[in-house]
Amino acid sequence: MKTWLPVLLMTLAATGCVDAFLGPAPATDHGALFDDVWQQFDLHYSFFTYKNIDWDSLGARYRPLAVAAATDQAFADVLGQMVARLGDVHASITPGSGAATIGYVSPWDTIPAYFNPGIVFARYVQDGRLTAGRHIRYGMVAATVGYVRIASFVGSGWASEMDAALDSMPAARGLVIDVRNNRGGDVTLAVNIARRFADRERTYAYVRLRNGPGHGDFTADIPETVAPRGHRFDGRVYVLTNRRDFSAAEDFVLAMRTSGRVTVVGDTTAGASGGPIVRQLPNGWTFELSEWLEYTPGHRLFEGIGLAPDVVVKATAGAERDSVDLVVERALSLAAGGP
Amino acid sequence: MAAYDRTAGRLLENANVFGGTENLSSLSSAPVSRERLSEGGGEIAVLRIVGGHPSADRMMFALGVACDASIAVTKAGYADPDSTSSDYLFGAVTLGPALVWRTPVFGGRTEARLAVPALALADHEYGDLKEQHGGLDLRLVSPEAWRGLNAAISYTAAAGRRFGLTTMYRIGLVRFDDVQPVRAVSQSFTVGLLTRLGGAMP
Repeated sequence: MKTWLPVLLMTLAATGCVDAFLGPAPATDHGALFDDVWQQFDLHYSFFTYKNIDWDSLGARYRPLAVAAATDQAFADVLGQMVARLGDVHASITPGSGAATIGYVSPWDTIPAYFNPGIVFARYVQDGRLTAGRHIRYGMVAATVGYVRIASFVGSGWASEMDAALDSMPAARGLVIDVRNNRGGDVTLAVNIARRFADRERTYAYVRLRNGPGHGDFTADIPETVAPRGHRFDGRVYVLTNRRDFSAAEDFVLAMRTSGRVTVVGDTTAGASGGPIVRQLPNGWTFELSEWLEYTPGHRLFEGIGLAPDVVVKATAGAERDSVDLVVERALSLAAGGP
Repeated sequence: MAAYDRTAGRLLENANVFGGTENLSSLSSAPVSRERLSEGGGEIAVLRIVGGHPSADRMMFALGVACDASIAVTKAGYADPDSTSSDYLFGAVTLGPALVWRTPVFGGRTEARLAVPALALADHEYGDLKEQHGGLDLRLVSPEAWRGLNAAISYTAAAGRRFGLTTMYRIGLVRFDDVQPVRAVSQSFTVGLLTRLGGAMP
């Protein structure tokens, strides 16, 4: 045992030097936390140039407010106000586990969408059912037309529920996929569902990632692809969209569109394309920011613009009041060979 | 961990590889991210014995160069509402002077090793590895931006026999002044059974 003594002594001596090498622990005062958030956005946020944002000015304006904040909640509100100026739903602050996220509120979240899934299932869908995982509601809307409602792409590993829904509707030669009011979630999941409708591997988007400290530092175009997998549906597909489709829901629309057998019906999507990443502060708070630029296959940025449908149908308050869904009705008309 | 050690005249050749995964925990009281580190690497050193004798019962001192390669992927699981996880890669190949000192102690052998990287190539991904879509991208790092050392002290009982017991303390320090700075200290304390697979101790 004595022979191990030098080793143990060396261990203890070296352990004592570690703190000196690493430096002090990160500070958690409001000034230091503000600087951490500001710098991470400065290093990684993707839309400074595209949105013509002067990040230095915003930092200079909000830092004194952050330092002067009397409480953590007031400090979080200042951070939330600063990132809200980016006009990006993928930029936000979550001040602690279980706390409400603070950030930009899209106008599309406050303007009525006049979409009520209850009306669709009560008026149009016969024998509406849920898949086993309860992520997809579906049923027939005509003798040979099925309807699938995907309210969210949150979670992972449930793309096969689309196979189950399609298997349960063997008479369907056409399909309506309703992703209205879908705020997104996991892009991989969304694209995995779209793979059921792909005819071959195709590029549905390009992304460029921030890869350096300059606001214009990006990788070259990285193609995002969709390839066939799972139950293959070969009929016509009508994807229903509106202004409350964000992020992964928009990737789903892009991926679906590549097959050439898909018609997008409804309203333009929200245009939230940033590809968010998460960072964590030394006090445990988390924040989210966009780190990429996403382009359509035609190399068009759609952040803040959205993806226009092939057939524009505006939902109205009057139709909703009358329990009519104009978008579903137009999709059914198209499926029946109408205009 | 596995090691290779060979003495040819006044030349000492040494190589070792290591790998493993660890869950990292924070000393902070705040609920910070959960991190799991998967790492591996190895070192090749060629040294010239400049003092003493390589036999197990004699003191020996050797100087030379060491080339160290390592790669580490840290999976960070954040406490955000979506429980996001990201993978961060840090790989490096370094070259620099090294020294080995061995001396017999209580029928065994104590060895101290020190390597100080003077030249470094590093791949420090700018963002989440899952999103970067690229292969290993090593770039030359200026000596001002890279500071570090690898040191170990070990004691091996019955070093000249086929089986022996060994205990080792290792410490590695890296200070990389990148756009996103790296400060890393890794320490390990190992107790193990040593098996000589070939050759014989001089």
